[in-house]
Amino acid sequence: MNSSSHTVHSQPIWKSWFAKHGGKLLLFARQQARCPDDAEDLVQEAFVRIWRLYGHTGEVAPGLVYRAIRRLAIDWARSLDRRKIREQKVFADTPFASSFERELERDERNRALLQAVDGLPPEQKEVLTLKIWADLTFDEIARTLDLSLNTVASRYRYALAKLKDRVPATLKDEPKAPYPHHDS
Amino acid sequence: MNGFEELEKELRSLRPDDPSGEFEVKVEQALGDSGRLAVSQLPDLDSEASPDPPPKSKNLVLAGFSLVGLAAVIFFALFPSGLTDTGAEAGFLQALPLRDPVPSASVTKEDDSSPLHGVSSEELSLTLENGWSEPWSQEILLEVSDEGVIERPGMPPARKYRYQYLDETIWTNPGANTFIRSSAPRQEVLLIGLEPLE
Repeated sequence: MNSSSHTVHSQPIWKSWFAKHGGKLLLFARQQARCPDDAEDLVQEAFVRIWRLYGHTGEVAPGLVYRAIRRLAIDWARSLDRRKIREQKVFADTPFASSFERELERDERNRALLQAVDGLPPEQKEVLTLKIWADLTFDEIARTLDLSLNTVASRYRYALAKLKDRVPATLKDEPKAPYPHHDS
Repeated sequence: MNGFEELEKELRSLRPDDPSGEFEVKVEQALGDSGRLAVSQLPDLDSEASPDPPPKSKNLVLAGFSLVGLAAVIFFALFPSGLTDTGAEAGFLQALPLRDPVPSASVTKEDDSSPLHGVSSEELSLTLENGWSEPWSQEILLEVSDEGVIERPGMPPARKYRYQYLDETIWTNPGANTFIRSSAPRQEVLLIGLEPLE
């Protein structure tokens, strides 16, 4: 009917939404689940539940999915079979930095930063993750984690202070060449 | 807090890895039909600039086109004269070789009481004279979710419930052995005020 060269690009909205938030959701889910397989299941379950409720509007607030992940993780941790799996897993199985493999390849500074984040207490790490990478407000984080606003804000400040202390100053100033080179 | 700004900026510059393709396929399968309720359709003047969708999403794209096509067929079948009194610009649809100006989404008034997008209930009622029987409607409750307690400024907190419905209306024309089914998602939010403990 129409011989012009115009085309229509069409795709389900969830795909672009997921492309934007999927990696961040997985990052958070890995901290909640402690096990990579569970993390994907958590994200899938939470995302599908929320998208079925609100997806027809074309937009879903990311905070809802983070909160659903959190609540599902708690529910799953309570169930016996999953608890067994969780107890068998060592926390170090899924270091934080493994979610940033692409970044790790870039330079030593990134590696040091991510390792420092990995070394934070879990309660500070989850707040930092939601603030920095999920880009949630303190209010949204407080609702996601069922904490008070003050607790969230102080955990975030503590986390940043620790990171600042732990990441070597030399790396900060000279990210490309942190130490002097001696050829001989 | 000043000393942290640089650190925050640096942390934000690190992007977590994207989910794998296999995982995305799993999510797509789990979403099923609900993944196709909201579809973005953008006219793309430079077709080379927009790559073909991946093979696995082609069925979804076809489904999207089918829905749009079906809506257009129903519209023109019910109202062959169209909304000819509108002369507003109709985007790339103006390229269609039609004598009358083409009604576009921008000039179509939305009637909330009508379940058919772009067709007012008044226009819809006219079709009943042409062999269409009274519509049959039903309200399907899909899900009720408890979204917890919310704070309300100047008021006591309330528990928030969200009800998800699907409103379905079916028109039948026995003479033409034809039916039209309209499904529209709808949600209602119910706030139940919580009384403070004495």
